Amino acid sequence: MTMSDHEIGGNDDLSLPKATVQKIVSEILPSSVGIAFSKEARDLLIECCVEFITLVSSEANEISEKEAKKTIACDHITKALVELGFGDYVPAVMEAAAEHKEVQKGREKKANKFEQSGLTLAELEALQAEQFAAAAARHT
Amino acid sequence: MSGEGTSYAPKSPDLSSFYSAGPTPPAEQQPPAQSQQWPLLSQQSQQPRSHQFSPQTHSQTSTYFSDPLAPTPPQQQERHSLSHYQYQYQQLQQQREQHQSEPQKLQIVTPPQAIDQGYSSQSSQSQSHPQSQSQFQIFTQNPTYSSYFPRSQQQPLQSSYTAESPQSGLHIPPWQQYNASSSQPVQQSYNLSGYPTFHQGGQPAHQPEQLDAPLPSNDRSNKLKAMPPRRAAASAAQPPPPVVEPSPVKTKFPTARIKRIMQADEEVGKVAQQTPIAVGKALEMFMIALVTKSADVAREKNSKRVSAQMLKQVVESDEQWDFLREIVGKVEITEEKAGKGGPSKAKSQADSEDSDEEAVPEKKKRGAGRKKKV
Repeated sequence: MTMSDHEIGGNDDLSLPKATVQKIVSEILPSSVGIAFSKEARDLLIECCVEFITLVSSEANEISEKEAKKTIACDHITKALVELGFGDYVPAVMEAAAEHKEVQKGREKKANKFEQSGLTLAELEALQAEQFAAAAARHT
Repeated sequence: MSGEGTSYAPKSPDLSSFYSAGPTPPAEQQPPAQSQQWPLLSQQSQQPRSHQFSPQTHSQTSTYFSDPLAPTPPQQQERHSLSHYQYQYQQLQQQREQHQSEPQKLQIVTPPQAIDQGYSSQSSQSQSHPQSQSQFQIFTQNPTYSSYFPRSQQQPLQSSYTAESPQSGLHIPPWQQYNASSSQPVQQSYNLSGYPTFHQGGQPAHQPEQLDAPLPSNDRSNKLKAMPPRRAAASAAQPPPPVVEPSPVKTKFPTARIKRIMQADEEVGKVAQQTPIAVGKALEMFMIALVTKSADVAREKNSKRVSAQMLKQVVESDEQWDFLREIVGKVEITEEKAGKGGPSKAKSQADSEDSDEEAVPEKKKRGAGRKKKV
């Protein structure tokens, strides 16, 4: 990834969706905290996030190469995190990966989607109702 | 004194009963307005404050001044630590000195409403209404105060006030009118509970830094410390207030996007299926760290808005973030040169943009970014 040519929002594919980042930021800083991110800070944060991914995957790649593996596995990510001074992320990362594996094994696609949506059942139902209403409105 | 109390009490649902517990009810001027429907208070609030206070009331100041504080301290302690209360008390006294021209007894009246108000004003901005309400109910649970606010009056009071508060920068709510130093004590009690300050109206010389002094730190940890006793006080009957979760990130990054970013590095070859998920989780924690620390910086600077500079400051504060230095350095420069809104704009727009930002991400989901999952 070349840093020089990726301006803010320059290459969408190689950046992160702003809406998602903004949403996560607001989840970390709910409105009751009373502090929000400026657009500039958010864009900068996105760049930092991309750099973080790049750094971790690059480090993980090296580790996998050393282990003569062709595929970067979770294991390599956690090792890379430790190597890079983010060892405290490892337990949560392993947990997330294990959870995902469970879901995959069960082939519970619905549950998987549900979990990945990051929404509660009530929220999803509300969303569905909203979409139904919107669809109905379109056809009247 | 007592004669007035009995004649007065039935008329005024909130204040009169408050006074009846204290030494003396105030003059008759206040009651008529207070005893009416709550919505009327908004109209009343436009009346000059002097109207609400008679010289008679003022003459009783000394009794109020000394006495009602007695009921107040235990209640304060319940919610904050003793030191908090003491500090608050100090502040109140300072306020009194500043506002000597105003009837002092009213400041004593302040606590229940002031705090309620502080929370309400927060909720008006930030949807934490339930919290403020439960906070309010704590008061009503308190034996001393429950008599002040007949239950039937509580909800109207709360709601009518909250409805007004959002734009209350100029429009002074009734509470503030008869609370001598109005917004200032409010802000203090508010700050003492560990929340950041966002008062709409022009708050005068009062600086939050003053408040930071006695408290170990004015950030989250402090808030958390301040919470438990209050919740304990609320205890059984109270519904638990919605609290800020420590790691509330539910939204996940699209794994396909993460994978694509990973593989943008030519060196990186195949990636196992869960790997982007692991990276996504790591990314989430990375964000929590950066965002939380940036918010701390913003709080220290008494800003509601995290600017790019603050993020930069965080990055440069720890060698763990070394790999980001180039990025924060570069973006900072381009921002200033290209004038992409710039941080100063961000600060000045803090208020107006607040609500937009929250709403925007939902609508603005970029079709291009999202629709293709590989």
